[in-house]
Amino acid sequence: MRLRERNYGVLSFMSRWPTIFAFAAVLGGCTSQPESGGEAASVVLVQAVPGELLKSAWPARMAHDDQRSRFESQDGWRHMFEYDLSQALGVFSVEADPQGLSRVHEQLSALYTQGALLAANATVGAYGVGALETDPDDLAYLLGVSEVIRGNREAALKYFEEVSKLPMTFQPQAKAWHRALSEPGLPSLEVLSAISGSLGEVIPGQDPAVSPVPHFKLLEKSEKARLMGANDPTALLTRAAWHQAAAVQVAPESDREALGQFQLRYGLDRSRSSEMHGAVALDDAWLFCSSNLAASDAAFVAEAMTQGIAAVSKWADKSVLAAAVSPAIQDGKVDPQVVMDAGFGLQKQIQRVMADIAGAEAGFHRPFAQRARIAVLQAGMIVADANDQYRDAGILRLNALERMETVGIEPVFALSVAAWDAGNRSPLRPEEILHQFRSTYPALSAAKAPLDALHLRRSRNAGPANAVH
Amino acid sequence: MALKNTVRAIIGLALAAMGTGATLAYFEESIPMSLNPLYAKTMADYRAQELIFDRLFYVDAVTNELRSRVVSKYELADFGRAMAVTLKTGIRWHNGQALTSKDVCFTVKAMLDDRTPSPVAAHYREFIAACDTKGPQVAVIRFNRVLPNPRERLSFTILPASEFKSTAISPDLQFSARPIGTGPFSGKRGLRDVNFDAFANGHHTPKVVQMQLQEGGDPLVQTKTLINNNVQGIIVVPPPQRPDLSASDDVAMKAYDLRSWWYVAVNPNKPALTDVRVRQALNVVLNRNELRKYSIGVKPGEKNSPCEFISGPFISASPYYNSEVPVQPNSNLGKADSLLKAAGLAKAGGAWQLDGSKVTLKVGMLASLDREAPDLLSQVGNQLGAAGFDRLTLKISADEWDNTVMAGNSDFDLIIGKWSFGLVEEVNELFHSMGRQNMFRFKSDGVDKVLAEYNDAVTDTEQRDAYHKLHKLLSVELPYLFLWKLDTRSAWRTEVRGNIVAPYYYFTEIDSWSIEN
Repeated sequence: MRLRERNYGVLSFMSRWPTIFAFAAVLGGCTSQPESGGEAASVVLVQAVPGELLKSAWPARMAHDDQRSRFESQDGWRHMFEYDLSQALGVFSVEADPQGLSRVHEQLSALYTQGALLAANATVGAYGVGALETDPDDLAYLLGVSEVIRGNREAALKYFEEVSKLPMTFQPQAKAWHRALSEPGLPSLEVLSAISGSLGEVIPGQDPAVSPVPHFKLLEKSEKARLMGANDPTALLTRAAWHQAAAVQVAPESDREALGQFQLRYGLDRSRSSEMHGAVALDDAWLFCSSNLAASDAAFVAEAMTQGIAAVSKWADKSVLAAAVSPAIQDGKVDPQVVMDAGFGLQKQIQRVMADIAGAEAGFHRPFAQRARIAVLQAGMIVADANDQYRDAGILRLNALERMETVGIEPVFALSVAAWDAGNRSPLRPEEILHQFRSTYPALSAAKAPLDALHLRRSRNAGPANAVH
Repeated sequence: MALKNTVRAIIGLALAAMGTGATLAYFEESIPMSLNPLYAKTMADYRAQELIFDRLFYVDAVTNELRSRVVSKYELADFGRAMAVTLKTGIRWHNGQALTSKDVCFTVKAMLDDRTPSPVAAHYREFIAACDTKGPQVAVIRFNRVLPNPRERLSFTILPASEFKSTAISPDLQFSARPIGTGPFSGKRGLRDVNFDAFANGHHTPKVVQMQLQEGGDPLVQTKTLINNNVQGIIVVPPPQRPDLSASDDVAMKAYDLRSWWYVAVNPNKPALTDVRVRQALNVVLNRNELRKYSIGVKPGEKNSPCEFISGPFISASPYYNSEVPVQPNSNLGKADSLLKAAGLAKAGGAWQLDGSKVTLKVGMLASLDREAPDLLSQVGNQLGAAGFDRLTLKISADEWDNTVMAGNSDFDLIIGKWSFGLVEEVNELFHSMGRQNMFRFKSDGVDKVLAEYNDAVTDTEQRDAYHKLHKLLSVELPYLFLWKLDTRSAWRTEVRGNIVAPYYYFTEIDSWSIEN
């Protein structure tokens, strides 16, 4: 795992980065000075966040060899760095790293949660908004589940009542969902398993087998009466709950509160986000390569999801991300362009701090700092979303995804973008994202059928278009 | 009037200059063939036209919301068989005249006019029946049937009635080079570039003063020119250039959602290529792994490659793609030999012959594609040569492509090309015996029958199944040898701000773009 060329960092990926950084460092001597040729001319670099606060960010701390060495010595962390959760799960399960293993399970839980949201948004977009007379009546069940996932419980109940008037196909599942909706929040793993089928005992380090798709074949009400493949999004929720249970089971007792905060970022139940959150002490295993740059960022993000700009002002002196986003709050709004500038400013500031700590620039500094830049975009997006700036949040969301192309696409975030797009009835980008990840995470295939249907229905109604060269 | 227009243009430039002010120069794949929206044939055409014109309705590039910059109100009429659109007031054409309902109905009537030989218009004729004006601001567009959501279909570009003598619009009018639109920029096409000037209007507030489209040359030169800030953007960055640009903090790579796939079209009317076994042999002669490695720079097994092999006329992520049809990544020269011999070809002195004559394959590729896939033409030629075919490789100019190849009059045996799509991935025109884009007049009763099934499909399952069937059939009949899909990425200097790239049309959100001094 340890690289042959120690100068260029920790992870094999880094070896691809040009040696320019080190070369520039030699030429420039003291690397605390801004680089002469590497900065965007358009951005006046300012200190994005106070220096002391910045030192708490994981990319800055990882400039210290001793703090980085524990991650260099384990293949599991290399896979985490490359956002390969599937490989990381296998390695952590044998390397006996409970925090690493818990974090992978937590990420997989988030991945399947967003997969469920993708399936739900596509289902509603295709069979709800875009309903056709030829659609099988049984789709009411899938629409009901989808509305639960989207947080529309009243709409879901109506669909489940509709199912009760239909022949048997989905009646047991609809009844179970109906009962589950009498309680707040999402159903437990036990209830979900009863609906979509058990995934077996929760054993950390494992990934349950995937049922083949389609889950069902429903008869279309057309002359040709074709069978239409359909999948129950409940299956993805069940898988998410299974991994969540595994994450909790393996996490050290002292880390359980932090785990709860992390789960909020991509969770469906927003009721806990409105609570006040305190910064909890966190081991670097929870932060390395994550979008939380420091421990207090997780608490800030948890609050920002419902409190928006109020959370920024509250956390600006404690959270790196809040401090970075803070200048972008102007007249009660998030200015997406300022968030982007702040992200870039933080990247450059972190690179300088890393060079100061290490005594010279190294190849891995830039990609680490780029992740910090992306984290700022994501934080700005969360704040804008909570501030009812849907389009501005979208701009930041897409920008964050674009920036990931340089350092590696984080599957959970990518799936969340896909789910958001599908919620806008836009199928193309979600199809590409799903295609990219479903060979590694085959359970996500459950989202393909509704997404295909959304595309086909949108396409049939779209303006004419020719193939163009 | 001319003075008024000049004053208006100057005000436009001044307003834009107050914002940020500067010229935004960028490299395009090619110079647009036409700036007349009825005759858009290349993606460069569509992108340039998006700067000059308004479409009646468009989709927000971020939220996918259906919007209009020119319509203030719309309502269904005649029990869903018509839609009345009320235009915003104060919108001016680049010639100074006001946009009115007459222009909307003129556009519709031009598209309905059989003397307008526009492939774009042909599609609208399938569902638009007429258009009537009700005063200067209201146009009633009539359909030949009830449409579920007509706004989604009405994405045509509005043309100025005052610029045409009749509704019969031909592609060779001066309008194709010096168009008049209501979009954020007026544009003029030259031989080597297209210049766009900001135009002040009520519904557009461009912050960029001028834009200049330049034809991109050598990709390496394009990259260096961008890094040196002599241009501000490159629309299509070939994969080999992407790492260099990603490594620069002065440049931001931008995703551009475009569904593009590459192919080698086979001329089945040539004696040597009539037999399907010869086409099947050519399919296994090609070593796509090698082609991709040497042309695109992607090694076999590389993760998250921007270039993925395909076995049919869709990208793998598409619902229409039939994943049961395998791709052909490597060559199989033994199989090729058997197929060719079974088709009656014989090898003499290492070269394939048919009826005693050497088989010479004339292979062409649109010249501009050589920038995105450098050396692909010669690599294909080399592989054919190594398999025993005499060959002649030629780059095809844009004019020849348009006037000869797409007109179905070329004598090439093989043509390397790329098709791009947006949300609509219909390929009927490429493979139907009567298809407008069927470049070699390929004819197959089986294919025509499946395309009829697609057209008659009532449900999306039926439609998807028809295209899955088509995919399978084409993989046997092989009018095309399918190569790969290739992701499109742009690069823009970081001084260019707010540069949201719209899927397919690219510059839909150009009003939000600016240049930081």
